[in-house]
Amino acid sequence: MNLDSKSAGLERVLGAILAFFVASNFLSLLVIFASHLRFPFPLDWVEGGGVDHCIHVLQGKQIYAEPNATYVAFLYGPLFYYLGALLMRLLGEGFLALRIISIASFLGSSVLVYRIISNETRSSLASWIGCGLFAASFGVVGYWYDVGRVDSLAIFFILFCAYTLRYYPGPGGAVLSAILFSASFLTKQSALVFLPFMVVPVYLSRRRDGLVFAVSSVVICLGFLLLLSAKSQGWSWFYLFRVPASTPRSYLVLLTYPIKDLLANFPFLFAVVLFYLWGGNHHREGKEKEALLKNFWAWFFLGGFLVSYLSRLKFGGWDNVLYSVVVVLSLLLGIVLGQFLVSNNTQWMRRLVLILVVLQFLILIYDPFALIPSEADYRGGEILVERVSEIPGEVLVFYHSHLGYVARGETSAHAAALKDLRNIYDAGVPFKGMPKDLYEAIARCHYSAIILDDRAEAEVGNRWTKFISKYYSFSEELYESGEPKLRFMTGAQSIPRFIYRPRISSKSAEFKEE
Amino acid sequence: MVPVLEKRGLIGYLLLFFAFYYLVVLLVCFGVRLPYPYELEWMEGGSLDHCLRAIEGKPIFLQPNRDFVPFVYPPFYYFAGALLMKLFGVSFVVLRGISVVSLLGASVILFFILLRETKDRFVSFLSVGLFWASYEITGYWFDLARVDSFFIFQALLACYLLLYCRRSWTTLLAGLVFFTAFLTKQTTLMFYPFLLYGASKKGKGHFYTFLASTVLLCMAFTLLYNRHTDGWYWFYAFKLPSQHQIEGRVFVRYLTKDLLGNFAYSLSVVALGMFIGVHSKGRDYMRTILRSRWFLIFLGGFLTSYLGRLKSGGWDNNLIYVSATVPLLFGVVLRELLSDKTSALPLGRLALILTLCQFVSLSYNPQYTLPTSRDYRAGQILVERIRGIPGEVYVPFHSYYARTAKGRMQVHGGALKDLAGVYSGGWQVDRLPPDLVEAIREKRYSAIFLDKEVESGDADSFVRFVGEHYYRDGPVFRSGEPTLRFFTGGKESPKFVYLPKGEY
Repeated sequence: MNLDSKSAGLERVLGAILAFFVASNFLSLLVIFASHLRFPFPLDWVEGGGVDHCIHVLQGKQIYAEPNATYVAFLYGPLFYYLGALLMRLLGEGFLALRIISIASFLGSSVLVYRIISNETRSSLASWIGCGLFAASFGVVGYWYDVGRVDSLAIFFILFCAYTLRYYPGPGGAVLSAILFSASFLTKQSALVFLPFMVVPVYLSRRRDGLVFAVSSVVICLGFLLLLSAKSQGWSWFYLFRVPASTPRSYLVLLTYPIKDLLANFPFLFAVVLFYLWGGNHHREGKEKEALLKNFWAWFFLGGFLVSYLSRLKFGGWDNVLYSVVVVLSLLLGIVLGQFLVSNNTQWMRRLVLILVVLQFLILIYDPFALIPSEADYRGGEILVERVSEIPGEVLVFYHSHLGYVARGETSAHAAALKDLRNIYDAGVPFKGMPKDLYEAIARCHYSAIILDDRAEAEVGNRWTKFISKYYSFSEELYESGEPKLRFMTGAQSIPRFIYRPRISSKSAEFKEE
Repeated sequence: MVPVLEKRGLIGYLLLFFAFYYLVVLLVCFGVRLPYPYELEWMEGGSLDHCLRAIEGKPIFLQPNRDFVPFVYPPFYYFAGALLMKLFGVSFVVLRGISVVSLLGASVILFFILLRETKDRFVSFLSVGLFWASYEITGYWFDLARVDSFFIFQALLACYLLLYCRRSWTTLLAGLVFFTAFLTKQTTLMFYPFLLYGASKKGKGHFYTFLASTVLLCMAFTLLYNRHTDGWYWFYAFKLPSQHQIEGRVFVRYLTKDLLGNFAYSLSVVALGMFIGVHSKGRDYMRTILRSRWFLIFLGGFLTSYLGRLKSGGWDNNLIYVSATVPLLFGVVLRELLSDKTSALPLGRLALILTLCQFVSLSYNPQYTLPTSRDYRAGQILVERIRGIPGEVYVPFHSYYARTAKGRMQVHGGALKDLAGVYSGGWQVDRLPPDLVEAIREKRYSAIFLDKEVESGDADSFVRFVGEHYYRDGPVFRSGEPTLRFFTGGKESPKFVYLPKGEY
């Protein structure tokens, strides 16, 4: 990291502070990642479902199939699970393979952020700051970078695609970019939103490349979709498009997203950008301003913002949906800062901007120690697995199917996947969204116990627990008082706690309920 | 006065709109929340109990017992509330009314301080608007029946009288108001060194008048009242709070999340203004700022807020003090930026855009803070449930409902927490009032309503102690019934009915 020769003492100090922030953020991430890699329990309540998908692939089964009591697919593309399954062949079943993919993707994305800013600005300080901001935003994205879920891989592919498209002109580069785009799309469908925002700027400056990229992307994606659909008798289409389309939207987020997610999380970044636009950029030529229309990264920024915004609108969209906007904001800060530092701005302007960047890093500080699994967390997971394995008969760990698999080797549908089906899937049973065999298994008290996260009584129970409590009654808590409990490092903090046992018969259960 | 809006164009109107909007939202919230007959926050009922005792002529600071244990605040708010309740009747409206009037009074003082400093009504109004906009980040606390709004009003009034009024009687009056502020909340002392410094700049006479009046009044009252209460005043108002642990993590979190996170855009304006100031006027600029009256007030508010937040159990209400004083910093610097002629850049406009971002980033949905008919019904249900159980019913963390239903005052769980050392390590049942421990052991309460289940893993020692003598009978609210909701602070509500063991 080196400041330009004009820099005075304060700028050097600020540069050193920023270097410290960048280094400490990456260092703490590496420590957290290392501690997570060996943690044998889920970091987030849905993570286990991803492992189930990979095991499903390893068993030679289709990812996309009719919903049933033992398996329901998530609404994401298959690439992450195929890669996970491949790695699991080498490393064994479990979270390790998926987390390695996520960590490698995050690190790859960081390198790409650095390279992009460096290419655009030739400022190593700005490049480090941009990539440091990406690392520092770990808390903003819900501590998601290393979770065994699709996001890190999808972002890596889309960023790689943008990189090759921008810096490797010619048909070869365009086709390579299309392959990377398709990989991103087959990991998470929301990559599709990026497509027009990459095609347009390339088309405006390099018409042929734009066309080659657009056509190749569509052909590759469609080809894979048709293949998947044919292999799964249409179920892939159902999961990849119909299920996401049926997810209800929360329109309040139209307001809260720009206010709470963007303005509140990145205030000093926006202050820097505003300062750049209003003041620090007054040396810019008029022609350069016109070139904004053809600016690839301006378009890419819009794409990242829209992906994140649209995902947040979906009911239940969690902080991980901010991943794409965090990446483009890191690029934005790096590029703006780089142009600011190299242009002929006065010393106080450069100092002010560096101070604002320091403040931005300050408000992104999080407690890394809280994210490192403790002995109590290990013990909490072990107790859970022991207790579940000791229950005779078949047990359904409703919200944490993978823990059921670890404890007993029995697979079951994940509640997150079942929730997604609630508005679109009707198996002809009174409970919409529930596979018929699962409904019957519960109604006939097939399971000797069902482990729930919440109590079905009074106001606390949701529609699932209320349904289950018609046929099962609360028996005892899974954890005894004072025992350490399983803790998720991110996402909903809902853990398996209550053991429900079958009522004597479904009829008497209904009578009691009344 | 600088002609403003024609120069500041659309953004000026937008900013004024936001400032007015936040005022209107506040007034609407106050209007809806003031008459709500149940607690908006779980400790409000405790404040009412303090006033009731004062009305009945009973001591507030006394040996802990199962009927009453005071909160860890001095008594002025409760005495003022009791006085007004004698005129207007016993209800939350009176206590919340004091808070609302205090908040509006604090806004007026803030406006006048800013006007004196900036000579710009536009900037002064915007800055006060920033204070109004902080309703959410301060935990919707402005209008609660708690001491904070009353305290900040008196603290600002003391500052204004001392630092902005020239006559000697105003200095004496400032000493008196400082004393009443100290009698409302002890953290007034955080303002003290800055006020003394301000008084010394005003002149020796002012300094000694303020010093003598405040020291004499505060010390005399503390000594006499402590003697009058057999030492219990010192115990509750000073000893117990001094035992609160300091939350190490908050040292950084306060600065990064509470201050920078909430006021990022206004602090960006401040940073911009200070850079321009230093750039154009040299280092003297910073010296002038550090010695200015408004900066002293800011420091007082900042320190009060910081230390309050650092203490174990320090909640969002502690941000009221910094929210009331950041506008001073912001307003003065904004005014300088708007009149800056040294820079060729349109920095005034940039500052206004950053201000707009600040207003937008502080926006909130007031709907969630307003009681609905379901909340009224939930309160009624709870009171009816308690009334329906023969004998004495104890609702430790919501004693207001038990008193409303049965007429007998009961010790509040908030006060018990301080007494039992919750904020200095955890519940110690042996520190609870002996007659309360005995009443639970001997099952004198026919029922106890708890917020947590004894059986759940996260039950604390107090709940577990109750569980040794009482068993869970069922939920307080039946399936489908509206449940009691609090609009700020701890959101736990009474959920489970416990009956004496051995009486199945």
